Amino acid sequence: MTLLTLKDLSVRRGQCPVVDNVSLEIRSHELVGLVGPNGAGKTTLLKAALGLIEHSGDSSLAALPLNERSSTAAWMPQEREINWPISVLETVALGQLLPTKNLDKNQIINDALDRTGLINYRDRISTELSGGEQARVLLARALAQNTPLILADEPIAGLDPATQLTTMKMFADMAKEGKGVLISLHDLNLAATFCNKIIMLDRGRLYAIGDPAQTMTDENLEKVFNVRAYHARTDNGIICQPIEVLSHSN
Amino acid sequence: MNLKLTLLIFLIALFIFSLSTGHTTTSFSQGITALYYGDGPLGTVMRQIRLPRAILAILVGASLGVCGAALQGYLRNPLAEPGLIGVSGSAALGAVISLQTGFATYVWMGLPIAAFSFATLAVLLLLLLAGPRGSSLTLILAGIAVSALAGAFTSLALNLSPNPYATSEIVFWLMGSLADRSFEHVWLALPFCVIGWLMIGSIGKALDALTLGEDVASSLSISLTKTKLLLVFGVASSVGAATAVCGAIGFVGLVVPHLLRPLVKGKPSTLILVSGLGGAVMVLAADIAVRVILPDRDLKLGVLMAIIGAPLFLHLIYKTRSALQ
Repeated sequence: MTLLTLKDLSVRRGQCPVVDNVSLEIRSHELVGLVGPNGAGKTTLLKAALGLIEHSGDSSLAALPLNERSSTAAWMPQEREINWPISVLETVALGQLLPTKNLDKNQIINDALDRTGLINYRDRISTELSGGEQARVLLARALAQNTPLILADEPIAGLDPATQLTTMKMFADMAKEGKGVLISLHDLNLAATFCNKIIMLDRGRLYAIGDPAQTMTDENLEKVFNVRAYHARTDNGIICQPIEVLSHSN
Repeated sequence: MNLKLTLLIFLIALFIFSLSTGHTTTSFSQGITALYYGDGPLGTVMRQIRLPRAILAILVGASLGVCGAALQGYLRNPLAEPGLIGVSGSAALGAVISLQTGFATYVWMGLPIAAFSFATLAVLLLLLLAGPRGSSLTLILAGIAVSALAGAFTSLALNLSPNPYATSEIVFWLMGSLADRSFEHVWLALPFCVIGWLMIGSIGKALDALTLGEDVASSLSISLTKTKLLLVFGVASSVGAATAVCGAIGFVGLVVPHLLRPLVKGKPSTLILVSGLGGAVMVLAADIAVRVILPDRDLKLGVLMAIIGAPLFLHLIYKTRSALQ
């Protein structure tokens, strides 16, 4: 089932296109990694898809009436913003701010806490937690929205390796359960290992789209990221570890 | 005990104490009897002087508390207060112009009407500057601009006062007071205060969502434009009306939400009501204090509030600073 369709989506800052005519689809059962160097337009693309910033072209999500968006897609921005000293439980419960039909709110909130390993943190004050723990709280908040589609901007940035792996595994599990997950990330290796689809952006344009083996090629990495990578296939998936910056500029 | 209930009990106790405080010494039971049945001087004092004064203290305090909590929640800034968006400064300018031009003297309820009209104009100017879709930062900047403009014209009005008497009248009014207010003031302020509270009460959920920033709130189906309009008009209505009847009372909207926030565990929507009750308690207590401390000198409420509020605020900043280090 298609959960998000972008058609000729463009965002301009003045004359400069930040996102340039991007068309793509996110379906259920897909964990999609949005990769690209700094300034490639990843965050802008996600925000435009959500209808948070002005854009041209179509986004099926942005086209929805405002009151239907919260039940369609959850959003976890890159900025980890928790402004008031509310408890972890209260923070996560914000995902269920608007009434949902026929569902047990507490069950959904507890599931989200459980999935992110925060059950024992529920009464702690969110703002007093470490940066990594806050990231998990905000992720749990997005999960508590219980939407078919999840968009997250660099959800694993700044997390320790174990938490990064756990988080990616959790996204992969959610995709297996039928959700569609679109995340931007800089870790090409984790993207290659866990995602079943990669969207590679280069200066606002969609450079490559497909499974990791098709997209994380030497040629693409060289052209888009200006790096050479070590590739290998393991039982757990593909390894794609950048090892060298190429001397010439792309 | 439940925080709201505790504040409510405090408020009722202070309300009764306020009715028993004043030049005419009276026992509590005499006062209450006179309030209902007295047709002598005591009955008049109770019904026409003390009762409206106590009610206004509650209206003003609650408005400042509610608006302070809502503005801090919306702007995600514990230093925000109702004066920040220029409503009280503009209401004060309206009052000053009405005193200066004689409008306050010749027109029935001229002063509060002028003050309220200017508060409304300020909001329209604010929205024109910030735009209905602008971010919270543009709202703060536009608010500072409107405040500065109102302050400049207030100074001009003082500068051009025809005589020292007019100047002192304006200066005293600007200090803020609840003395010599009547039920006419209550009836003028009450509907606008209540409308403002209802508007702000309706954005509780939006303020909770804004805890996680504007983008997340938006993705939670919260309309930021609607939230901002309800907030701005709510503040204008209640604080505009409060300033119109009693002058600018500072610090309540800043300090009360700050003091009570830890007790409601930070949740912005819960803080609105609690802060309203807290503001009413604070202003009522201060209004009793001005009558007890210097009964013969007409100590102004706004002055006392600043004397109490500023050190309290310094203490809060010191505490916040230590917490951040």
